[in-house]
Amino acid sequence: MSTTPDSSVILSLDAHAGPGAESDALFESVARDFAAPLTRLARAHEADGALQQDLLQEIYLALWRSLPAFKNRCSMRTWVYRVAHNVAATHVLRAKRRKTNQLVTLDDVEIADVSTEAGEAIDEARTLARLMQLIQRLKPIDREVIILHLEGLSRDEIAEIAGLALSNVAIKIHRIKQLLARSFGGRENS
Amino acid sequence: MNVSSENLQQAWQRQALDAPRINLTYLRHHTERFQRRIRIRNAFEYLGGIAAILLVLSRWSYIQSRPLTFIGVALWVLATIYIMVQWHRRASAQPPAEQLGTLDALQFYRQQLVRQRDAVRDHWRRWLPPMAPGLVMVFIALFVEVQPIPWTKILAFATWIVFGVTMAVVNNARRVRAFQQEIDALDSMGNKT
Repeated sequence: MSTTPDSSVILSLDAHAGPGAESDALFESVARDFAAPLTRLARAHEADGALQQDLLQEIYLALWRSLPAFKNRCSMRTWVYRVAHNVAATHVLRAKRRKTNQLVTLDDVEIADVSTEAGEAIDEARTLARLMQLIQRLKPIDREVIILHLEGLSRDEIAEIAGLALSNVAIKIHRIKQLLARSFGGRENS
Repeated sequence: MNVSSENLQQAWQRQALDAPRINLTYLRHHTERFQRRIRIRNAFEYLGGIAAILLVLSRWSYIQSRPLTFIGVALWVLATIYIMVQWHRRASAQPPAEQLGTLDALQFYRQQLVRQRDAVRDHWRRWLPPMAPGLVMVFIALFVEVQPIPWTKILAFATWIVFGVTMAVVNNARRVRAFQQEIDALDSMGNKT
C-alpha cells in the first residue's frame, strides 16, 4: 500500500561523501526518492500554494545541510522525515504568529470545524481537501503523527521521528483513527 | 460514503505527484545569497567610511589652518582606513569552491557563519581604540584653537560619538545573536538523531 521509499534503505554519507559529485548524488537520490512524500507533507502543513513551495524549498535546504550529519544513526527515511517535520513545525509556529486561528489537539478538534457534508457522496479530491483542513487545524505534534500515519509509517518509526514514547504514539494513533472515523464516517480499524 | 482509515491512507499516498524537482543549483544559489548579503553589507561599511572621510575633508580650509585639528583629523582618517582594512580582512565574503559537495558545502557555510559572528562580536573593541587618539585630539583642538570655546559644538560632537558607539554595540549584539541562532539551528539539525 505504501508508496513511500523502503525504510530498510540505509545510506551512509560517510561512505558517499567526498569532494563533490558523490555526495551531491546522494542528495539528489534522496530528493528524487522522497519528492512525493515531502510534497504531500508541505501541502498538509501549508494551505497557501506559494507558501507551500517556500516550505518545500526550506525542507530541501535543511535536508541538504543535514545530510553530512546523518552517519547511519537511523534509516534514511526516518532521517528525512525528522528533518522535514522539524522544518515544517517551525513553519507552522511562524505562521501561527501571523495568523489568529487557534490550533487544537486531537482531543479538542471538533468535527463541525471541518466543512463536512455528511451523507453526501464525496469524491477522493474532496475527501482529501477535508482531510487537509482537518490536519491544518491540529497542533504540530499531532499533525506530524497523523501525516506519518497516513504515509504508512509504523508506530516504531513514528515514535523515532517524532521523539515520542511508543505508548504515546499508540494512543495518538488510536485517537486519530477515532477522529477519522467520526469525520469521514468510516469504521475505526485497530 | 464511509471512508475507512486504510482508504484514507491510500488516497493520501496517491495524491500530489506533481512534485517539483529540486536540485543542487537551487541550493547553491541559496547559499550564494548569504555571500551576496555579506558583500552588500560590507560595501555599505566601506562606502560609509569613505563618505565620512570625504565629509570631514570637505572642511579642508578650516582644518589646514589649525595644526591640532589637522593632526586630529589625520589620525582619525588613518584610523578609519585601518579599521576598513581590518574589517575586510576579518569579515569579507569568501566565495565557495565551485565543486563543493554536500559535506564541504555544509562545513563551508558554518565556517562562514562563525567567521561573521566572530568579526561582528566585540567589534567596537577593535575600532574604538584606533579612533580614540584622533577624536581626543579634535576635542583638544576645539578647546585650544577656537575662541570662544564652542560648547554647543563640543556637546553635540560628544553626544554624536556616544550615540554612535551605543548604536554600533547594540546593532552588533543583534547581529551576533542572528548568526548564533543560524549556527545553533545547523548544529541542532545535525544532532537530532
